[in-house]
Amino acid sequence: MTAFKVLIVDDSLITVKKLTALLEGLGHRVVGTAGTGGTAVEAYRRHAPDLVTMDITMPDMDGVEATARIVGEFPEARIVMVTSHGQERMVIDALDAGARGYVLKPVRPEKLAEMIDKVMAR
Amino acid sequence: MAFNKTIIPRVMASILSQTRNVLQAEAVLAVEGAETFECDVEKLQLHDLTAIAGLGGPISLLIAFSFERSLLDVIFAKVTADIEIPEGEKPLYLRETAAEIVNTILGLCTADFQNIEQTIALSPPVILEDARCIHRPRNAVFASMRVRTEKGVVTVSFVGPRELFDEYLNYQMAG
Repeated sequence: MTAFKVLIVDDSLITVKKLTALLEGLGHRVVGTAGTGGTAVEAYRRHAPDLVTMDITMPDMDGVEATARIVGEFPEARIVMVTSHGQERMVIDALDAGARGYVLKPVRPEKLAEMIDKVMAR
Repeated sequence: MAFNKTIIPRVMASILSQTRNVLQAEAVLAVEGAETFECDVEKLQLHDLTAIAGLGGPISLLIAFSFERSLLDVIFAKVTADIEIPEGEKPLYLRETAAEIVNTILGLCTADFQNIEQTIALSPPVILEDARCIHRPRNAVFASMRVRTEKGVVTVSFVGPRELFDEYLNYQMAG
C-alpha cells in the first residue's frame, strides 16, 4: 500500500489526535495540522501534502472556503471533507469547491481507508 | 428569514434524537429519558461545564449543552480511550470533549433541517466553565430540555433570537 503525506485541518484537538492515529494505523504520514481554514492554506503551501482531511465548521474561515482557496491555488489538491455536518447542501458546497469526497464523523477506519483509496486512485 | 420560535420543538426533537445516537456511539451511554420546557422559561441555569454553539439561517438559536461533571467524565474516558493525553492537559481535553460532542450532535442535526431553503450554518462551539444563571430579556425566547442518562444529566438550553446574544450568552443591548 502506498503511504501518503497527509495534512489534517480541524479545530478539534481530539479529532486531530484520532485522525492522526487512524491515518498512521493505515500506514500514512501526517506531515502537518492546521486548526483554522486560514492557516490551512499556508500549511498546504508549506507541506505540499498528497491528501488533506478538512473539517467544515471552524473559526476564522470554514472548510468550504479553505477548500476553494487551496484548490484555486493548487488545482491538483486532493481534499476529503471529514465532518459531522449532516446537511447535504453543505457537503455539495464542499464538493463544488473542489473537495474529492467526504467522510462523516465519528470516523470509522474502514470508511476513511475506502475514501482515501478512491480519492488517491483518480 | 426571521426567527420564529415555533421551530424550537422541532429543533429539540432533532437534538434529543441525535444526542441519543451520539452518546450511544461515542460513549456507549443510553439516554434514559428527557423533560422539555418549551418557550416559557424565565431563566437558564448553566452548571459545571457548558458548550455553546449557534445554528444560523431560519433557526437562529444559540444552543448550550451544560454537562454534569459525572456524565462528562464518562464521555471523556470513552472518547479519549485510544489517544494519549499529555500530562497536565486533562482539563483542556475535557473541554475539547464537550466541544467535540456538541459539534457532532449539532452537525448531525443540520441534516434534519435541510429541506429548509437556506443553509443552516453551525458555529464552532465555545466553552463556559463557570456556573451561571441567565435571566430572560423581554425580547428573547428561552427553552430548555433535560436529557437523563445513567451517568448524569445534560441540560440543553435554547436561546433566541441568536443575534440578541454574543457567543457566550451575554445579552447584547439593541442599538
